[in-house]
Amino acid sequence: MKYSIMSKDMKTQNNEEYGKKKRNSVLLFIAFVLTAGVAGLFFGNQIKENGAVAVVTVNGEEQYRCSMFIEKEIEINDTNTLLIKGGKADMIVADCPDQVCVKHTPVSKVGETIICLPNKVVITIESLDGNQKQKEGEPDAVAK
Amino acid sequence: MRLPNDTVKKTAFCGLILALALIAGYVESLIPVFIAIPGIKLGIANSVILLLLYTVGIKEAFTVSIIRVLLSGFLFGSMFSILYSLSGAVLSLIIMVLLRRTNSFSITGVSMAGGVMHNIGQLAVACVVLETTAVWYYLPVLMIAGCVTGLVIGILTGEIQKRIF
Repeated sequence: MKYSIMSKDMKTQNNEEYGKKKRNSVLLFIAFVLTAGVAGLFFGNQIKENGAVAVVTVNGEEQYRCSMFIEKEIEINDTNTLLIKGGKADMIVADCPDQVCVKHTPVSKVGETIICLPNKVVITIESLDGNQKQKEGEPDAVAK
Repeated sequence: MRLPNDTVKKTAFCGLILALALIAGYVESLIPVFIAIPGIKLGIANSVILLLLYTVGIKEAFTVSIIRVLLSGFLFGSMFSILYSLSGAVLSLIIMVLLRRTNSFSITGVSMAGGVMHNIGQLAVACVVLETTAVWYYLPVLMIAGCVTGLVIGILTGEIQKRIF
């Protein structure tokens, strides 16, 4: 196959245009990094309080509610096993190919999650009053 | 290289690209990349589709991309993996086409945006399937990962385009 017409980008694009494109791309990169940074800070800024309940959700439906303070091993649907020990929840067994959930560090703070995507299992840490969101710097108690 | 409107040659070329994208996806799965982050991929298949977009056209890129995702899913994955891949690939391709249309970004930038959008698309589907917004905690990490891989793939694709086409 012989082609005499080169791609428009290569032939008719002069250096100035190419420079502009490159600059815009760099700006885009910076924009993405900044956005990711801001989002990361936003998540990281939330007060991490220790959770009281580990909620196991499979396919969007809640299956178990386990206290974080009672040592327990929970078998989920024959596909995953959750271990609650020492105030932390950890996925110890899963039959998914990527094993991301098993390798995940144990969670213990409100709002933290371990997700096994192929098996559609979501472990969420809640506080006593059913709160899943971190409080944004509110005092725990106010003395009057 | 602008391929002529010769339909037969175009179809054959697209078929070739499709096979290439399929193999690329398979090879990708053999290379372990940063297991700690869920869903991180090298995006070599994106490179192939991007090349197709720049050399042939938008319709062909979409068609090959979608067929590739379906075939790849049937061969190596499950119904749900097809759903995730499809949403990521389609969203990423839409954004790449739009950016390319504006003619204001280099191929590296387009690829980078595609990579980020691919991840966001997959996060969105995961959010719906799992019925939880907790998945968005992964957003900062996946954005950076998408950026970096998109950048590398973009540079690679640019070099290929310069030399072969």
